[in-house]
Amino acid sequence: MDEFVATPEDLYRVYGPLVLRRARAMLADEHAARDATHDVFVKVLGALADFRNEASPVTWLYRATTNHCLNVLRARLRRPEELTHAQDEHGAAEADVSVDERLTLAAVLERVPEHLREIAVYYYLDQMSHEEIARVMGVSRRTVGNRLVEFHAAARLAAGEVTRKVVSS
Amino acid sequence: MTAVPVLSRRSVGCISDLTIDRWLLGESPGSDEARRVEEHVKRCASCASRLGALRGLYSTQVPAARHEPPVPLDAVPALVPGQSGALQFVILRDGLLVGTEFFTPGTYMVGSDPRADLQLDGVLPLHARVYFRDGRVALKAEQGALYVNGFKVDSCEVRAIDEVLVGPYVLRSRVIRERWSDVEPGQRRAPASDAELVEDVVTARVEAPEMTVVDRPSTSSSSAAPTPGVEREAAAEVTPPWRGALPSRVPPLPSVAREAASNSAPTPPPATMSPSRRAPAGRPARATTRLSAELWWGDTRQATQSFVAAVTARDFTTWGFAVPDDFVLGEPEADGAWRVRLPTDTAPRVVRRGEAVECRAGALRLVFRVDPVLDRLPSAPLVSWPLAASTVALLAAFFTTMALAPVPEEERFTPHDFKREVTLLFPAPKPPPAPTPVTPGEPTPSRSAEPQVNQPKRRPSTPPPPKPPDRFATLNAMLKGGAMKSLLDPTKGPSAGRPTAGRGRPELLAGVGMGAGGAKGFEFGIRGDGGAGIGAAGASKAGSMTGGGFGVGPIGGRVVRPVATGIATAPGSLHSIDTDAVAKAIASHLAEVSACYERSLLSNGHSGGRLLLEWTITTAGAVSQAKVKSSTLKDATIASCVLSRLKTWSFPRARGGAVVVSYPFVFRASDF
Repeated sequence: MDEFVATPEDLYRVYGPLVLRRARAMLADEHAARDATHDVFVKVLGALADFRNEASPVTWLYRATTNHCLNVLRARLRRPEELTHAQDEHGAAEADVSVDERLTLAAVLERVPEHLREIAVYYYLDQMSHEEIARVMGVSRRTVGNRLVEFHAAARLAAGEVTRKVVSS
Repeated sequence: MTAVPVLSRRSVGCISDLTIDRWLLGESPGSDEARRVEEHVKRCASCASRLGALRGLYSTQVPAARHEPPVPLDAVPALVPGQSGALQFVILRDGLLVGTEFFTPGTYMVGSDPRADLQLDGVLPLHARVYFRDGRVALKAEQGALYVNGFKVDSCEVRAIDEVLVGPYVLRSRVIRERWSDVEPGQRRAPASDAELVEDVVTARVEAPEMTVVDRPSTSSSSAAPTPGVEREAAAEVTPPWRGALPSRVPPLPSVAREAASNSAPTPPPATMSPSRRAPAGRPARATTRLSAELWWGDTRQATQSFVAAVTARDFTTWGFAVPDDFVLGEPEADGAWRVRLPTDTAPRVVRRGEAVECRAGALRLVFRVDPVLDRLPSAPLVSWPLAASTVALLAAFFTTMALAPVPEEERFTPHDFKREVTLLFPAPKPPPAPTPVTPGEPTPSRSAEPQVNQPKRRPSTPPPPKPPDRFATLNAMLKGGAMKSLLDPTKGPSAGRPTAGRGRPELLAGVGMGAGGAKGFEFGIRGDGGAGIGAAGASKAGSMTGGGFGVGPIGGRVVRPVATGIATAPGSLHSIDTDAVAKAIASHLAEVSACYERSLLSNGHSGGRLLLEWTITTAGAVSQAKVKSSTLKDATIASCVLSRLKTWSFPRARGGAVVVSYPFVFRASDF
């Protein structure tokens, strides 16, 4: 694999679209997504040395963006008025995930324990395989499976009929 | 439910965005994952379109930049002598600085052409060429004329002290060297001699014009000279690719370097002088000496040139001496000697180091001299690294000494001292409190300015300075305590002039304006006493007056409440007036009354009281008579001031005849 140029400008130019797309898909709000992108790159700047040594910057950024967006979503759930106008056409058109799904997932995510939210995002929103999730999260494949089972249980318990349809794969 | 197509992506074996991202951003070249992506995209339309969409997202990026290896920031720069350093040109015009330009080692064009590397207006399109290598600079005139230190030259090396004239511009060169001490000994290479520099730079391109940067990254530093090339090839090998890949912007130059110093006086050179001549095909081993050829016309040196290899008449034009082009003028011998053939001689002579031979033809004189090869030219002190290093070392030592030196205890800054200085601006009104007896050895609460640390026992004759009253503590105490309460208490309001907030600081802070009766608002200001520095600013808002027991708080000229019932007209009078309008008129002039009061406050200090005025309003609305009916003010100037102002005011017209109006102005200066 090639080494990559480690100046922050280059990183932003190369990986910025990726982070922005991902933040859009999760937040469904252009402004919030741009804010999140900048926040993620601020994190990158803070851990630039680690980031340079990262074998896969894409994976690292996936994880950082996911965690940051989950935090944003959690903060947003505390202010319900933001949920009502959270959808704009930009975010919805970008990812091939419908507004329904996103809302359902948000509702489910709100109810499940925090440590399971990230894995759920990877599995349901990103359609990652177990191997990929294991690589992104730095855990074993077995752990991924276990946590998904945990998540199913928690989600079934927390949500209701509507949620059960989503997670019944 | 719309979730179905989404869920199906993984279940039908589609690849995730993460995989596509990694593939697009080049994180998985040649791996199984990459092969899987490529295979899958061929047969899966949905993933292909997704990949296309993501690729469009990244298409504007520059993944090409990622091929450069990272440069560790703290590593010693890998130096190749020929590629090190930077050249700075300081450009002046008419004695004024126009700008500076920096160049890395290479060859650059100076001219007005847009393609020129150093673009100057008012010169020829491709005026001159700059060679920069080994930390040395050479110039070569192309289309235009080049003057170095007042001499017109075709090409020559320039130093920091030289003044180069290009058209209307004066260029001064300065070479900024990298630290040679960081270069490993194997990479170190003595700088080329001055003659060699120009010659190498130019002839390398003459002899190997087909060289391209692709195959030989260090073209500019590699020379076709057989023996000296060995050393230089070694240097080229250690060239890191990211350094050596400097694009060669130089087309092959069909010219050797020569330095033609010409004077304006007798100019014999014929017009046949051709600016371009060919270099010798091959050169023997590098000599430890050089052959300097000089052509003199009378006392004026017309041309001079140095050679380290065999020189023929083709290399050095001998003007008046008719010799064939391939006539060998000089060849290096062993031991640094040169075999020189003069055009007038038949047999060659051996010239040793330090010797010279010459031949004459009329006023023309041809001189050959054998000099040692110069190792270095004197460089400007600014670029001398030993000097810089020693300076840095000295500075470092100096600052280290500074940092390690013990700081005397007395010199430490303490906020306590600071506070004391500030509060000294406000003289304490009260006599200083009785000095508390200080037990010996007890630390004094306020540190004196004189260093008394070493004197644990105070002299009994100097009592400790009185602890200055803390302005803010007073303020806080008043806010908490009775001052504020009394101000806000309407029953106490009209008692003007009462020193409610004696509290030791009556003149320090003055003026709370508030509605005494209505208590609609209040303001406070800080006023310095006796017109001290901040007094004027604070006093503009300080001080207030209330009228007739009804609250008026002039806050920035705003009247909180009209005062109608405070207007008293003479009883039994048949004439009448609109009291509301009168109140409004008074209110509109309250600022003037305030000004009178504040002026008195500034000059006479704290005062307050009630001033009952009586005046007559005519049917025209003017004031015909005005007098003070009663006053409790200590300062009579307030009344006279207000009266003089009052006579200029205009009021609503009285109906039926003149109306006598009385109105009480209540001044109170609270020392809040």
